[in-house]
Amino acid sequence: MPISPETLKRILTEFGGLTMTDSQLADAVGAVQSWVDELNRLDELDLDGEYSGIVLRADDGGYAQ
Amino acid sequence: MSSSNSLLHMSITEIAPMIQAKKVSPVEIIQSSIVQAEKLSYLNTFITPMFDYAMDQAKKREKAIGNGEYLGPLDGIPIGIKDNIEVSGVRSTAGTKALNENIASVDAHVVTKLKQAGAIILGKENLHELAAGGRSNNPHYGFVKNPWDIEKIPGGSSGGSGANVAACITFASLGTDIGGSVRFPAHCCGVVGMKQTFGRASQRGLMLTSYDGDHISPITRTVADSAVVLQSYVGHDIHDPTTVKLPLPDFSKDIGTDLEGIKIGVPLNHYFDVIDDEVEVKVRQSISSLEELGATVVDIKLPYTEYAGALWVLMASEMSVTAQKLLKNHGHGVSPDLMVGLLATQFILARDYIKAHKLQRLIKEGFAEAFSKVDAIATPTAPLPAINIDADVVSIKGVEYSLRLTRDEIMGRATHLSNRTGLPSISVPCGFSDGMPVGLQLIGRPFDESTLYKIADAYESSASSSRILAELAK
Repeated sequence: MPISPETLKRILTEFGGLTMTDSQLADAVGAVQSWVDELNRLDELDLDGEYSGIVLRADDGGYAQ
Repeated sequence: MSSSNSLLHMSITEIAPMIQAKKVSPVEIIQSSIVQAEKLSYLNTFITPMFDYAMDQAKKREKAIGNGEYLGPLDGIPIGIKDNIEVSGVRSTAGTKALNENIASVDAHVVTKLKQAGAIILGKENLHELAAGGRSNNPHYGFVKNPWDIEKIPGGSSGGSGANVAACITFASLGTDIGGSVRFPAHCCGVVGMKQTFGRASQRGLMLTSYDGDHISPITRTVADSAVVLQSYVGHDIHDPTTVKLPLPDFSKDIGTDLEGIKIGVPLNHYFDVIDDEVEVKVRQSISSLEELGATVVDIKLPYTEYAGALWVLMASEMSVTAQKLLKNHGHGVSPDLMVGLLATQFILARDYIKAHKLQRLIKEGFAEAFSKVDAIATPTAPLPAINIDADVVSIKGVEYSLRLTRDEIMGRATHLSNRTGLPSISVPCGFSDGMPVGLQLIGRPFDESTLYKIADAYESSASSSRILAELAK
């Protein structure tokens, strides 16, 4: 999701009316975007086939060792 | 009688027997510490100095010791407390202007234990605002400066604590480590930082950032001192359910023993992927030294650690809750880079949070598998030495990493996994890069701090770079 200064400004308003200058907001867009990129990287990481060795394997119908 | 500065250059294990034997008095030591602190006040290490209190306590301890009431190795020793750990009757700001007049009503559990051990608090120490970064460039209480080079950061978030120990103002300081905030300052300032296993020490009285990643941990000048300080305040706290009721080992018992039979793993992935060339040379040389001291060194792989950056989701989500009231009520008193971190948390979905937990679980299992084969894992503490205070960008192997409004993740990339896994980890000085100290990190099995102390002490005892003081500390 692309981040815009307006989006950040709205969130800040909900945080008890906090403010940032326009130049701070411009910097913040890039910084927040880098965090969101990390979220996207996590989203794309395929862990569906990974099961913990010590939790229930529902699709196997039983416990792993 | 020794000269003031030579007293301050000693370690706790060296000076404690002199206090016990009444060859040195706590008053003499505290006087020297205060003179050193005042001489080096431009380092901005304290938010609230407690010099009058310290002198008063020193007189009481001097009298008590004179009456045969010696309390142990911390009796009469000047220590610092990071300003997000509460000390009764003293303000606890956590480094933010919003809490400038927040007076603590009770001592943190660990502070109570240290006072009972006779340690004397010299002051509340400066830090990165709300412990949420690695530079300690505090916009409200002054930038903390590195005793090795005052143009450089001391690391963070426990920057005042690391700088105080390196400048021989305190013999030990209690910092807090949420992503490397004790180990990174130790690395930058050439001292020893230990993050014990999560659950070893009570968090009660800590102004929490993370429920399961925050640790109150010691910074000292030697490994043996670290073991003594940690021993004094850890253990089960009936009022803190995160603490574990386990028999407490003697952390010093294996110090001074050889490394025969010890197996050390060196990760092939993540930890050495992004690192300054000279730092890598120092760390790998220190690992070779461990081999020469009798340890066996083997390569290991730690699955999924290359995705470690994604685990910021967990800490940041916690912080969006732990700092929520502060922001709502006093948000105008926090700095923009802190606001950016909190803005970012507004984009985290529940499924991101749960997936990060799954990733964390898989990473923990990878470490558990590794520890079935090795006793400790050796890594760099950080990919680069202390950077300039005004740096906006750092370059590693030709790649530039921006520091503007970031969460300083480049500095914590080798440390924060130990917070997410809860594993004990120690940083011990292993040489210099471009004139600045760098650290070797040793990661251990859960609740096996003793093995880390054994290995770190063996290295420290053999290394020519150990116990070198910064020029301004002399």
